Amino acid sequence: MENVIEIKSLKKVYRDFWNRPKVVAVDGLDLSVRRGEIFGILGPNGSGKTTTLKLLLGLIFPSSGSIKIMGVSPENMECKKNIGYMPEESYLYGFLNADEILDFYGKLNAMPEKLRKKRIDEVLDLVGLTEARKRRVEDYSKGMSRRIGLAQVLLKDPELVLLDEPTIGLDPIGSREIKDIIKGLKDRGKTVLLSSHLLAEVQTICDRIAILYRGKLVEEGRVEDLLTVSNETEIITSGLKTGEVEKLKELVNKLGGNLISVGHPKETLESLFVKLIREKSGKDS
Amino acid sequence: MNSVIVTIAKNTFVEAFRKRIFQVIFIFSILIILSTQFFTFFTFGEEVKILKDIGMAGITFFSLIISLVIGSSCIQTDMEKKTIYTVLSYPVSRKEYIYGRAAGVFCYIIFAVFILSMVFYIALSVKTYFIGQKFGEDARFSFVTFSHNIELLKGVWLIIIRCFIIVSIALLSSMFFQQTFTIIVCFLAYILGHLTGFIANMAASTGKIFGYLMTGFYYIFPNLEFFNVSDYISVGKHISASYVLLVTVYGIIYSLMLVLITAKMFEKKDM
Repeated sequence: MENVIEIKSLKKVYRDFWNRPKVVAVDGLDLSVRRGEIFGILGPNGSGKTTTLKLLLGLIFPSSGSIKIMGVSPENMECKKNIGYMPEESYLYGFLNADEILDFYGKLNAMPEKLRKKRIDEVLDLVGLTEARKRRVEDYSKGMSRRIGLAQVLLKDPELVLLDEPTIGLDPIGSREIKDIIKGLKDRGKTVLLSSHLLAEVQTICDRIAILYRGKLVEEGRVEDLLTVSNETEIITSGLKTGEVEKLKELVNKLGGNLISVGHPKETLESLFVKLIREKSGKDS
Repeated sequence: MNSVIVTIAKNTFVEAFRKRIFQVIFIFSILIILSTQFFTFFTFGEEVKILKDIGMAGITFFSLIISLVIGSSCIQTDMEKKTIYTVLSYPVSRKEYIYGRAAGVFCYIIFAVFILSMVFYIALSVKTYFIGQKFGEDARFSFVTFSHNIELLKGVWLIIIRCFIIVSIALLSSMFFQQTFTIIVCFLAYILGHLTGFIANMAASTGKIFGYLMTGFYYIFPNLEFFNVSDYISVGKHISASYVLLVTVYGIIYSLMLVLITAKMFEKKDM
């Protein structure tokens, strides 16, 4: 599969006023992201996630190493037409309303007026801000700010979407909606690179992940492969009575295995919360 | 013209227009100019001269404040609030961003000074109307003639060009410093810019090394005294069109040079 992002031996050293090395934010990073996948960069604060995203956007320059996005440098203007970026917080012009903000960014992306207007209506509907489109962004709640940030990304329908902590500050419903939008992007063949320190979030939506620590790559691979405990087997059944579970234990022992736990599978708190709220809102409406 | 630059310039203009701090400065300056209506002196000549002095000084002062605040904040705020991240993630070169920002600020300065001047002109007209009622129509017409208006217009134009220089210094300075320090740098440049004659004298009268240093300062700092024609206007002196043209060319070249340097520095800046 074609690589959309290729990072080789990337290093970024931040320097002080006197040009002395201050911090090595990214240290010899090698990474590739394939077309159509959702790739997660994980790491604690200060691990180099945001620096890597900034390097990918050409906001900062590498000290050494190389970055190729769709085969070209991140500074290439044609390449930028196909990259969407949502920063950690929605750093947008607060004095504009949602319509004006999207119109501004649409113009920057050289979108023709007719297409721009059509896309603005579509993305505002998609992120649920149609009713608030005439309100100034500085008056938006945190959740709404994230949504308008995402709308700005979706507006140009980019091939590559870079998301920095996409669900931070959102309630579980909002978080689920953003995750659904991200999965929708993948279904449409888009490539998504997201950085997060919310591990559960990454686990549910990412195909592959990279874990960074102090600017270095610690682990990289498919989420499934990395999380699979290969020397244990999970059996999920339905319709067994208590006595029959005992028989199953005996069978496992007979086969030379060791039954570690027997119990009922549990929902995640997030899925329970979303289900309850959706049921309640369905009843109310 | 490049559509990206136009888009950023328009956005900068709207930003300045909508931001509360500029609205407050703007309204305050209009009130100050209008308040000159209440100054009363015994002779009609004195009244109009004082009105012109205060009006031109008001336009100069408030346009300087607006230039300092908008010039020091427009790029710096984008970097602090990280709005620049989203803008530069679009097909916008760093040069286009700076040119767009500068063009937007220049347009706002023209707009702001134009409005202040209109207020001043209306205040002047109202005052002279009452002078006409009090001292006779001849007295009124001696102050509101076509040539008087043209001289005022020249003075206002030179205030705008001077603001361009201050804004350009602020933009360049904001590449290195935070907003407060940028304002201090601009303020110092403004003072030194009005002392260039004194600097030239020092260069001529002091020792070699200090003399060269002063000569360097003389050529580096803009000569803002060129733009200070308010005194001539208030006493009704004529300012030649060739002088205005020459000083305009000087001011615009100086400003453009600073904007080009800012764009060059911004190209290599880590965000």
